[in-house]
Amino acid sequence: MDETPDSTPPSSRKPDAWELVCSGILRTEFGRRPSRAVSNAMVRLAAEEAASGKTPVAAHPAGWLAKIHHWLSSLPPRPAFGLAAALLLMTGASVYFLKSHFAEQDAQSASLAGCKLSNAQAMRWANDSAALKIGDEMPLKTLRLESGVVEITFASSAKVAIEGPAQFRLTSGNSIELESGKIATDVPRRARGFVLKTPTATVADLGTRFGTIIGADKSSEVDVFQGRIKLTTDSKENPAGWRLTAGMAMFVDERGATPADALPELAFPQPEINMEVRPQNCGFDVSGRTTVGEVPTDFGYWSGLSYALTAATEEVKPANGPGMLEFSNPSAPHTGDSEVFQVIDLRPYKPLLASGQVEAKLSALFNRVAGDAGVANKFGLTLAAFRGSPADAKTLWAGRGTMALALADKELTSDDKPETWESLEAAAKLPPETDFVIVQIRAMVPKGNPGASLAGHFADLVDLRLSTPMRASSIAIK
Amino acid sequence: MGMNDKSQSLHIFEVLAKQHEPMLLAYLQSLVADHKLAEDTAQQTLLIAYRKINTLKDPAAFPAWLRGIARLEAFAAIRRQGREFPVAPEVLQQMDEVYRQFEEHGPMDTWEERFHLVEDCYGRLPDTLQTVCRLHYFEDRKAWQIAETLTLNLNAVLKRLERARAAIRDCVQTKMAETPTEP
Repeated sequence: MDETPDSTPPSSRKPDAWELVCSGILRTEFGRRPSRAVSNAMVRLAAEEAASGKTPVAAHPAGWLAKIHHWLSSLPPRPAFGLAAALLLMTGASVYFLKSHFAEQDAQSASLAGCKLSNAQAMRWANDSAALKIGDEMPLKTLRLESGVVEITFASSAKVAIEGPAQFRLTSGNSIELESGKIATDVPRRARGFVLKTPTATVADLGTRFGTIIGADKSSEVDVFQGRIKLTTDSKENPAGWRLTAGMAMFVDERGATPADALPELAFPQPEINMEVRPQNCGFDVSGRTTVGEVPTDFGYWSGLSYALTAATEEVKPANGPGMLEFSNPSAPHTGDSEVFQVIDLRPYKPLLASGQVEAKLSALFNRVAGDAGVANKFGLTLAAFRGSPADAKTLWAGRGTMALALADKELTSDDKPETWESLEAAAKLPPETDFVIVQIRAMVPKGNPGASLAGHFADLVDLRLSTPMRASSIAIK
Repeated sequence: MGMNDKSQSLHIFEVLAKQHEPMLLAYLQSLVADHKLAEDTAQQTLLIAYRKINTLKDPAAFPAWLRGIARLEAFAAIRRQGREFPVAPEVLQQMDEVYRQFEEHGPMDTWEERFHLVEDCYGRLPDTLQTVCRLHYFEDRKAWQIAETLTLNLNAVLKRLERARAAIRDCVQTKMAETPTEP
């Protein structure tokens, strides 16, 4: 990226605007460095309000609430974010939060814009409750689910699965009150700040998955599956609340909160979950670790006998980013297809895999230069799941026909158009024992012409996604 | 304190403030280059922003308006330390334009998501440059301390920081130009 030697003295040039902005972003560790600026400011402002008995803002006749309310009202009811120029200077999430907030305040609003009942299983509503169907917008009123599971997708993109018997009420585009029942959440980073209120606790989600079960005595068991949450209670013992991370659980009743043994995820319902588990350097855009050899014996790098990471060529441009992978023919004694591998660690996803319902979808884009008849025109993609250690990956791969826990392989006969990339996808259901997957992409020589050139054959954007459908709990907790 | 204890105004302001907190801190870090001072100035900025929220004419301009307050607060904080404000007025104006470009590039993204561009470019730096960046920007070490740690002379460290900044800038600009703006 930079070849200037250290021996050149630093210039006296001051950093320009771009450099200053990027330096600031670096200093915040790309926005992830913990900060208490907002929380401290809020405490002081709330104290000021409490002391004066009024809000400093509300004292003004043309309050900002009215202004923002008017601005939001001028937007379409379900804003088409990409097209609304007015939104360019404000994040979409802000608008959702605020719009939902006003929806809550507005007596005329019967439902929360953008919050939907997105899926259901054996759903049965109580007679005195609104009987929603899949696709309906969520009303603001209290709902009673007699049995079954419903999945709600919030305006913020957070998802929850609620299992009946349950009583709950959505309170904004990113919050819910659960009076009884079981709930599990999947809150993507975009929806960070999702809030669940139970009769005894408030859980603020910091970008994560967690589950809660309300007991008959209104106690709450809160378990974190992934990421972290902040749990607060009404008791005075710890007003700052508790921060829980994956594998931790707390039991909260009217007497306070106590640590608890984490329950298995199967004790909770689960919304549909989609996760990207991308291979390292999936777009071949950075000069990370790569090796020349066979199947890797560790996680997180590409390995193959004959390939190179390259920038755009005269005929083929990367599908995305500045780089792509170019296959080439292996040299003797290895002949035939050019295969490139990566081993991907799935042990961090064990709690998810435990359901046995996780489907892995491997996809990649392929392209090649135009050629005559007889040219190598096939590409392939293989996904193989194994139990064990990556140190044995080579042996396991060689015996994948019998040793793989799951195996998927797809081939593509490519077209003759270097200006377009073609997509190939292979999918397999992963059993709970899966420890890792081996991903292989390959450019193939024709059977009758093993010497056909593989130069000018490219791959880009290798992607692995795990998805699991909505489900009910399968372990009863007394 | 629970959410219900706060006024509706304060609750909404908190949502907005949280959304823009990463930008506010990054902006202040650019100006004051000090973690503690940036944090204190961000807090002060938010207090003033809430008290003056009625002067915000266009709610969509909240981020730029917040930066305007932060700029004045940073200026005052640096003056209190007896230092000269290190950034020229025209550069401050250009910084606003840079932030506007980040917003336009990912109008639906959170600031953390927008900052991925910089993270990606940082990841592309050679190890030698990444190391000095990490020590200087993440771990808050002075150039002379880095020189001691890495047994380099001070000029070499300064040169590496300069090269790293320029490389990240070029990379971010290229990526912004290459990647189409999100619909």
